[in-house]
Amino acid sequence: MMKNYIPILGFLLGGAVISTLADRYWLDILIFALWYAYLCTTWNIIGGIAGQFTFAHPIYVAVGGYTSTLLFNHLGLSPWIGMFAGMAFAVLLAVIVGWINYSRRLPHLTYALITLAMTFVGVIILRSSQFLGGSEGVFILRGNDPANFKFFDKHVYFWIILVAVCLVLTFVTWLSKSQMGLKLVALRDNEDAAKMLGISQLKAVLVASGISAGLGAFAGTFYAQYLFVIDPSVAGSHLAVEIILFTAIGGMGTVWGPVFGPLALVILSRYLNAEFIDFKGLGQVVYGFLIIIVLVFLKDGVVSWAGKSILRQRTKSKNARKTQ
Amino acid sequence: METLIQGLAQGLAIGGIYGLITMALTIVYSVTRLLNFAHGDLMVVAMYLAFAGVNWLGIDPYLSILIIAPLMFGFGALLFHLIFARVLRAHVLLVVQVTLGLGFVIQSVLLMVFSANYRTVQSVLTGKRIFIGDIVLQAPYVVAFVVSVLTAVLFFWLLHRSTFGRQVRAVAEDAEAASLSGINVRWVQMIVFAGALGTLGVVGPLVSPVFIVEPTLGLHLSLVAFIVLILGGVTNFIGTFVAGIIIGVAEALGGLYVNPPEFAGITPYAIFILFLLFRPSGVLERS
Repeated sequence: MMKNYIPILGFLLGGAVISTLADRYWLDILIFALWYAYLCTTWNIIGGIAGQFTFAHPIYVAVGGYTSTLLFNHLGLSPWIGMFAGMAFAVLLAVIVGWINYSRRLPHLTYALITLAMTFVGVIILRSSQFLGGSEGVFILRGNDPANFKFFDKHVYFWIILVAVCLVLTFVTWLSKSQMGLKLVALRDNEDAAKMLGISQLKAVLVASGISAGLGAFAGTFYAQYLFVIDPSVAGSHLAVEIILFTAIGGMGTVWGPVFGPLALVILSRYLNAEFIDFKGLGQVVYGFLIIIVLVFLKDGVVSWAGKSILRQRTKSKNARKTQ
Repeated sequence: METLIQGLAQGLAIGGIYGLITMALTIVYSVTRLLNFAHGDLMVVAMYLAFAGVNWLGIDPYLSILIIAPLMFGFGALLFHLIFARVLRAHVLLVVQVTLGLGFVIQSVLLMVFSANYRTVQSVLTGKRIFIGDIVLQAPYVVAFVVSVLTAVLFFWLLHRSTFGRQVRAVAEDAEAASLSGINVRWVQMIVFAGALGTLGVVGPLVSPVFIVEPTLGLHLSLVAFIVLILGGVTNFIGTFVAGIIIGVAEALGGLYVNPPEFAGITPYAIFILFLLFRPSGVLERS
């Protein structure tokens, strides 16, 4: 079983090596790519493994970012501690929303719609609240203060988000083999059969969405500490769409899909936007088309498609050996 | 009192439009089982076409419907052929992802061509009023409401009185049985999908004088349409129209009476959540 964790160690070491080679410009791109990879991996727990389509992650990011930032600005609490408060709020919110939908046995579509509506409501509330800084958001004084999650050196942020991605990956690898993970997959693939076996959908969804939301909230604290500002734009539905599409192109429900998708697409779109500066947004157009093509023709993400192809090759060679 | 009546009238007009958009979404869903999250984005395309018609060619939005509706119909047939026909048998989540991807592409292209600026479209009726006794109504809203009701009635008539309508209902009921009795299911699905986009081609220019257009409006419109679909009952067209009007009126009255006014945008969602909390059985029963 340990061999499942070796690629994660390889990813960590590879990332560390790359961080020493990258200049400031590339470091910034890679930090954002990893930030998306982190969010996609946490989204994948509820969206991919449990198959419950949610748009709520921007809200969890905002809850995490605003909570830790306000606690720091008003009470002087270090974001290293404040982030746990943000995570707790996000878990609470996720549990309430999950309860509204699944305690009444409403269909998956309403869960998707409630969470999508949350992003619109969230942006309205954040924009119009004076206490939350309105459209400008809340600022953090710049500085270099490791005890308060502030660094001048971008490498530190890179390592923090890299380690965070690896930790979540380790958790997801463990989860997908655990009893809880099997229950979630069973619910996703055949809800009626899973319920008949006595699996409680409400309990399973609440646990999965709570974990996913809590982990997602850390991305908000990280965002605020990296940019020294948190503003309503992070709560918007466009972030949810990006998370979903990045995960989809990598492969939903797989361990590595949500990492591969955002890394490839963020880097590609940043490159295209920098190369063709006159066509603002060309990167988005190109990767949007890529996503449609991949989904329509592979019917799945790249990682799951590659996995299936390898499996098919193996069974083919096995069968060939048998016939010989 | 007068503001209340004007708010109600405005809400009725917007609600009728919501009802019509949702009908287009619903009928596509009932014959193809596709949940199209790009529905709103496709309507925004029609709105921008109306904007381009006014500003580039000098054609009034109401007149441009004659060009935009057939254009959207053709675009719909093409999209169905290129994308939607290939995912008809796929898992529902894959379809949602594909349509989100399509919406994302549409938004990005609109952003490239028209920039992120908020646009308003001028028509011959802009600023014109209609007086009924003491009540003053804005002409573009009245026209939007009348046309949406007429289109909805046309929908009913087509579905229940024409041969094609019978075929559509047969496919919606049971695609396999319909296919066995000699109906070309794929063709019906394509025409319905193209027809839905053609409807958006009517609705888009129609509301462009009263909506503020920007590239990311689409997902919001899709969400409103899905909310109306859930509230009204998936197969119930009258329910859909009524639910559209409830949401439209809630939005208009919210804009008048909610304090602080910034929170007005929340009212349709609040109504949706209240329905789910207190009438979930009703929602389920009808869906």
